[in-house]
Amino acid sequence: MSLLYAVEEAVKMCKVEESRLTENTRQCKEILRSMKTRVTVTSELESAAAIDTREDIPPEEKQEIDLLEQVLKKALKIRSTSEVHKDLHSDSKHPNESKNKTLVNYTVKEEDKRKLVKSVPPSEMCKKPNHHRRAGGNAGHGAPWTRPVLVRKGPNAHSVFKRRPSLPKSAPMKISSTESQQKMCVKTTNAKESSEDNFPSVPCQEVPASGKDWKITTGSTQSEEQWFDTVSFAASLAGTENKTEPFLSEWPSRSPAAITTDLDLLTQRCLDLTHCFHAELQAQKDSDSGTRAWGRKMEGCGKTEVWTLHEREYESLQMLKGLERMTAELITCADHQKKDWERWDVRISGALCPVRRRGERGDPAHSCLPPILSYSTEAELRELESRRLRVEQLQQAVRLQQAMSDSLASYWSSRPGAGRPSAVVLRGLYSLLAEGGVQFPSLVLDSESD
Amino acid sequence: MQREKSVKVKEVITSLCKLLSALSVESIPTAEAFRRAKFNRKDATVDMWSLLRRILQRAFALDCACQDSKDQDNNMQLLFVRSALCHCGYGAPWVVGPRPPSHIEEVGSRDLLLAFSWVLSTGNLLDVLLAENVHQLDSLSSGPTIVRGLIPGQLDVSACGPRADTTVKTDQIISNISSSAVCQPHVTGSNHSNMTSTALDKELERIQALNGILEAYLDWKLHEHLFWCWMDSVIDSSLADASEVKPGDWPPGERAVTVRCPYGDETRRAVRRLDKMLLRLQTELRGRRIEQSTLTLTSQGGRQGASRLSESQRMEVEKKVSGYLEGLRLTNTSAITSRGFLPCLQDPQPTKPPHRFHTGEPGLAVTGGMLQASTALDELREREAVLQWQLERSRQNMRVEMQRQASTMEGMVLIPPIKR
Repeated sequence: MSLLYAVEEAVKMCKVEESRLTENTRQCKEILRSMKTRVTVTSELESAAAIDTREDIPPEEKQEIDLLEQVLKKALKIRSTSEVHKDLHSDSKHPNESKNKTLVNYTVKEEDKRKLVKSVPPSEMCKKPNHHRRAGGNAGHGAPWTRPVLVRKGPNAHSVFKRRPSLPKSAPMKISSTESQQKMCVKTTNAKESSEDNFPSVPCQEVPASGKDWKITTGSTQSEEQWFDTVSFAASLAGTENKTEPFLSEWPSRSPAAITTDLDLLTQRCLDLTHCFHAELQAQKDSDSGTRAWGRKMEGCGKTEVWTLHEREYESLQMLKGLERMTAELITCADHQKKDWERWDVRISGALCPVRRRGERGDPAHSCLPPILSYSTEAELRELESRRLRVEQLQQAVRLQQAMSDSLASYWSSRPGAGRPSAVVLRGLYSLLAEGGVQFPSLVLDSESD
Repeated sequence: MQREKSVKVKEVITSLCKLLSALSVESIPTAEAFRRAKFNRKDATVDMWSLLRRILQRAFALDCACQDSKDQDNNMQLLFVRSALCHCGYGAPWVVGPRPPSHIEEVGSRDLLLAFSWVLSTGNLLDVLLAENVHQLDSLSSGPTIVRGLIPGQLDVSACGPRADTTVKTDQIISNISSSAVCQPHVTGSNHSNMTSTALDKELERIQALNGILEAYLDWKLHEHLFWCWMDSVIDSSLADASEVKPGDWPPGERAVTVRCPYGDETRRAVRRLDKMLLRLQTELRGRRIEQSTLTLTSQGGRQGASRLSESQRMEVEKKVSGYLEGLRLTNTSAITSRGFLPCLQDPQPTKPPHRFHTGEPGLAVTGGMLQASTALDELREREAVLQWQLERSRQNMRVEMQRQASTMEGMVLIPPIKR
C-alpha cells in the first residue's frame, strides 16, 4: 500500500517538474526569438533575486562560479575581438564543442541544488523581450533566466560527454554579477544555437581584460580546473586564429590529420564493399551455371545449407540492396570529408607537404595508452591472446587475398586470348589464391592412348 | 601573490621541461626562455624554434619525397614545421596564410610558443611519446610468451584504488608503476637462477628509468592546469599586441619565394579517387540489382521469385544477409585489443559500483572503468568468424574461376587438391 503511495507521490513530483520545465522552455524560446545580434553591456542589469541568493553559496562553490566566470569572460573577449562570422559551424570544432558541452553538462549536475534557484518570476521574463526591443536588441539582461537555457540542453549533452566522468559537485547555478550573467547567456545561447542553424556570433564591445587572478584551488576542484583551463585555452587559441582570417567562411571543423585517417578508412571500406560485390557477382554466375550446390559455410556451425533457387535469388537481391545502402552511407561520409578537406584546401592550396604520424597508427582522439583489460583466469588470458593473433592473421590473409585477386584480374584482362595460360602459372595461381599456398593442384595431361 | 604565482608557473614549466627531457627530447629550453617567449622577445626565438621542430619531428614524418632533400635546409625545416602544424589543425596565419614567412626569424617567439602549446593540447602528443618510451622500456621486461604491450603481473584491482586524479590515463600509469614494481620481483624470482648479476642490474636500471619517466609525467599532470592558465595570459598579451599591430605586416615586396611542396595535393587526389570508386560501385550495384530483379520477373513469367518464399524463409534470409553485412562493417573497425592491452586480474568480488565510462566504441561493456576479457573474447570470436567466411568465399570463387580457365586448356585436366 505504501509503495503505491510512494509511486503516486513520485508521479506527482514528476508532473510538477515537467510543468516547470516546459514553462522554462517556453520562456527561453521566447527570449531567444527576440534576441538580436548586437549585445552591449548595460549597467542596469541587476536582478534582486539573484543578489539575494548570493549569500547562501558556500565558499568553494563561489570559487567554481568565479572560475566559470573567468572562462566565459575569456571566451566572450575572444569572440568580441573577432569579426562577425557568418555562421558558427554546425558541428563545431572540437575544443569549442566539447567546451560547450562541458559547460552545459556542468550545469546539468547543478540541478541537484534546485532549491537555491528561484524560478523566474514571470513578470521579469516578460520585461526582457521589451528590454530587448527597446535597447535595440541588447540581449543579456542579467537574470536568473540563464538557468532555463541550460537546463534545456541538459539531456542531450550528458550522454555525449566523454572525457572526464567526474565533474564538480553541484553548485548553485546563480551567477550573480551582471557581466558574467550576460556572458553566460551569450555563451549558452551560442551553445544552444551552435548545434542548430547558423547563428551569427555575438560581437560586443571589448570587455577590458580582467585584472582578476586565476584562483588556483587544490583538492577536489583541481581536475575541473584542468578541464576548464585546457579547453578554454584551446578555444581561445582557436578564436585568435580566426581573428585575422581573410576568409570569413566557416573554419574547418576537423584537423587534416583526422580527415586523412577517415579518408583512408572510407577507402578501405569502399574496397571491401567492391570485393564483396564482385564475390557476389561471381557466386551468382557460378550458381547460374549450376555447377555446384550453393553453400555458405560459417565457421563454427559447420553445416552447409542448400538453398533453393528462390531463396538464393532473394538472398542475392537482399545482399545487393544491403550493399547499395552501405555504399550510399559511404558516399555521404565521403562528402563530409570532402567538404571539410576543401575548407582546408582553400587555405593551403597544396603548398604544404603531406604529413603522417610516426609510430603506430593511433587515433588522436583516443588515448594511445593500451586499455586495461581485466581477466579472471589465466586460461582466459591465453585464449584471448591466441584469438587476437588469429584474428590479425586472418585479417592479413583477407587483405592479401584481395590484393592478389585484384592483380590477377588485371592479369587475365591483359592477355585476353593470347593462347592458353601456362600450366605452371596456373598451378601456382591456384595454389596461392584458392588454397592459401598450402596445397597444390595437379595438372594432368589428358592424352588418349590410342 | 603575483610573485608566488610566477614562481609556481616557473615550477610548472620546469616540470614540463623535465618531462620532455625524460621522454628523450633533446635540448629543451629553460623556463626562462618560455617566459621571454611570452613577451615575444627575439632572443627566445631560436630556442622555441628548435623545441617546436624537435617535438614535431618526434611525432610526425613527411609523407612525400621532400623528406629526401637536405634536412638542414632552413626552408625545408620551415616547410616541415608548417605542414606538421597544419596537420594538427593549427591554422595560424603564419602556417596556412596566403603569405607565409620565408625565414624562420619572421615568426615571433610568442607565435612559436602558442604553436607548441597547441600541439601539446590537441592530439595527446605527450601520451604518444610516453607510450613509446614505456613500450620501449617495458617490452624488454615482459616474459617470452606474451607479445607486445603486455606486462606479466598479478595486479589486484584494489591497487588502482587510491586515485588522486580521475583520469584513466593516470590509472593506467599507476597500474603500470605498480605492475612494474610487482613484476620485477616476479621476474627475478622466476629467473633467478638464470640471470647473472649484470642482467639484474640492467633490469633494475630499466625499471628505474621507467619509473623516472612515469613520475615526471604524474608530476606534470598534477600541475598541468597552471600551465594552461599561464598560456591564457600569453594569448591575452598576444591579443593585446595584435590589436595595435596590423596583421600581416611582413614587408610585402622583398620576400624570397617560399618553398612549396610539389606533392601537396596528394589528399585532393585521394579524395577524387575515393569519389570515383564510390560512384562506380554505386552505379554497378544499382545496375546489377535492376538487372537481377527484371531477370527474376521475366523468368517467373511475371511473378517475382520472392513471392514464392514463405514469410519465415524470407525473414531467415534477411537475417542472414544482415549478418553478413554487419560482419563487413565490423572488419573495418579495429578491434579493441588491436593495440595491445594491460592485463589485470579481476577482483573476485568487485565492491565498487561500475562507473559509467564512455569509450569510443559502441556496445562495449566496461565495468569499473576496465575492459572485461569476456567482452573482448566475444568480439574476437565474431571477427574471426566473419574473416574466415570472407576468406573462404574468396577462395571458393577463385577455385571456380581457375577451373574454368583450366578447362579452356586443351589436353590438360586440373585436379584440385584433396580437402583434408
